[in-house]
Amino acid sequence: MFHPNLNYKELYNTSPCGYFCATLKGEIIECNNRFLEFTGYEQEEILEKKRFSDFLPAGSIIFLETHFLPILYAQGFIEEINFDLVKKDKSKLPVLVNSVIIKKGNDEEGFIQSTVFNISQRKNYEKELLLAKEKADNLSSELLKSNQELKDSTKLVLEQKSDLERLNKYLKNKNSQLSDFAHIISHNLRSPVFNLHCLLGFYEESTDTDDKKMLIDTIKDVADQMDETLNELIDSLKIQKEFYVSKETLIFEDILQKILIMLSGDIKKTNAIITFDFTQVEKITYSKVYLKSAMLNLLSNAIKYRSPKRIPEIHFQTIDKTDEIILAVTDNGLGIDINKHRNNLFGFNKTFHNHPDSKGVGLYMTRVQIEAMGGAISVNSQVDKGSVFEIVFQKNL
Amino acid sequence: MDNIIFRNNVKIFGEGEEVLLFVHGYGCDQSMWRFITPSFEKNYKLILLDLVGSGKSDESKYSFKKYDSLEGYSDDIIEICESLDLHNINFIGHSVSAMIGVLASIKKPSIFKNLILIGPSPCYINDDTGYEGGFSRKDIDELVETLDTNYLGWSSAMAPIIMDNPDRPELAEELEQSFCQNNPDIAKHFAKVTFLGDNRNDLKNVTVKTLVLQSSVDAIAGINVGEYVQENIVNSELVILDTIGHCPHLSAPKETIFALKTYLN
Repeated sequence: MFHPNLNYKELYNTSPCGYFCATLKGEIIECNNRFLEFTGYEQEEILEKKRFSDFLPAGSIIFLETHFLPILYAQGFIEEINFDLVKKDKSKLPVLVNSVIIKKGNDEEGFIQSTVFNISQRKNYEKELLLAKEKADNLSSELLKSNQELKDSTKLVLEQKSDLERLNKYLKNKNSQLSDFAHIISHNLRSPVFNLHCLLGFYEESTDTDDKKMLIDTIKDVADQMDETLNELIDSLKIQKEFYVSKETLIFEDILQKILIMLSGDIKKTNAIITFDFTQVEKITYSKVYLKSAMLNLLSNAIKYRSPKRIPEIHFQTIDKTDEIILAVTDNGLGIDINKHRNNLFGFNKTFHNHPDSKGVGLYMTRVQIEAMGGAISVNSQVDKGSVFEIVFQKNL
Repeated sequence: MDNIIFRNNVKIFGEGEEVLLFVHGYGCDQSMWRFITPSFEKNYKLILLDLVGSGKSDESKYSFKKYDSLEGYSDDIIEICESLDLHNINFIGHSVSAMIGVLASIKKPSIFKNLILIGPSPCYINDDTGYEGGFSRKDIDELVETLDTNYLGWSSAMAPIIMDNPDRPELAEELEQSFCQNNPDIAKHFAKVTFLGDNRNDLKNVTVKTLVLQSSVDAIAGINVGEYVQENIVNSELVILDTIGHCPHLSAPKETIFALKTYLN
């Protein structure tokens, strides 16, 4: 029961929200005075004459038909939808609409109840909010853009860094080449100079004129070879650009012959027997300086570390592999205790013999040069039996 | 195939062999067929889907480029049909999906047995040749404005709240049960593509048998538009329902079911 002073009809009409009721087909069959006030129409102009869509502008009708009504029908209710009501005088009133479907008896009957709230004041605030949101969205996309720009410049810096790293690597490489060069000069000239001393010793000791003449010829040859080696080194310096990479076709036998001349004193003194078999691979495209240096080092080492118990026998052999050429140098010298020296065999200033001439530069230098060209060097050895040094050259380099 | 099914939230059910493929229109999702499908479950295989960007489709697959024309959507329909190896299907498209079906049937007629177009419109805008689509460009701008005000706060509201509250499953459930909740940016884009498009020239290329189902009063696509569609599709007929509104399958399911059954039989 209602309070005696209250009248249901009056409450309904003076309610602060508009109310209307429509059939399921949309025809308005009842509305309160507040709704009339909101729309500016008389009751008889609306009831059974108008539909809710008649109070909406065309754009909102699309929203009503494609979103509002489908949800209302499918769900049975819909809430807080914002429309602009078009009043009789064509002015607009922003409203929020809540609707609910009330079914009666069989499911074909029923009606739609709707309440309409005036939100004019809130609407202004909402418009400000919308503007602010738009601004925030713009700002956000600007931020995204700046972020992207930052990312791009970071990428650039990283690229520059990697360029610098490459350059640095190049310079390091260059530096090590120069250092190699210094070693080649000092080391590769040392053997022939020593050699010269030997030959001069023979010369002084010898009394036979023919012997002396032959020795002088040999000394001349050695001097010529030294001259040639020096010139090559100087040329390679002149070339400046990564001198060791300037490659040419080299015949193994030719290089060996030059080395035999350079070391002829040693060979003569030790009666060393040098043999070779270059039938598998006769030629190689490689740096002349490096190949000569490597072969000279291996031969002079083999002679230097010969066994006092036997005449040194040193054999050069080329082996043809699919992707590689192998140059093996086998001797019957002192041998190296591989297990003991495995890790530092080719290190700088490493020596494995208590030999007076041992400086530990030759193998290190050879390794650095060979590796710089993409190859490798390895050794197999047995103490007091001898060693096999193998240089692996990559065919495709 | 699984990601196509996931992308379009495809649902397959029903005990029959012959396929009814239902595609919802602008502003809603597959839940709009809920009063229709129970009447067909016994005798048909029913396939429902959400267009990408609508309902519970995989929103991450929405591309503003691909879906800048209805062809993006019709290609999806063809892709779904091909991945499910569907032929001779009955395509039931509401509103904008009527045109999506039209485009798909022109590209791959072999998939389709019948096109059933509910409230179709090939062009919503009036033009100076005398064609009356019912709206002006200004009306569409107004629609976008209405979308804006009704989606105020939407983007920050829904998904993150659910993601951040795994201990409140009712939030996820609420979304699960929600109808036609579409991302506002996508809704606006889709609105422009739908209501500013013009597919009138495509109608004459339809070869598949077509039914145009038209409400007697429809503010979005009036009877004159329904008649235009029927006149321009060769093998077509027009059935006018004694219903009011753009969604007779929701407001008058009985009449709609009756018309569908009559045509299919």
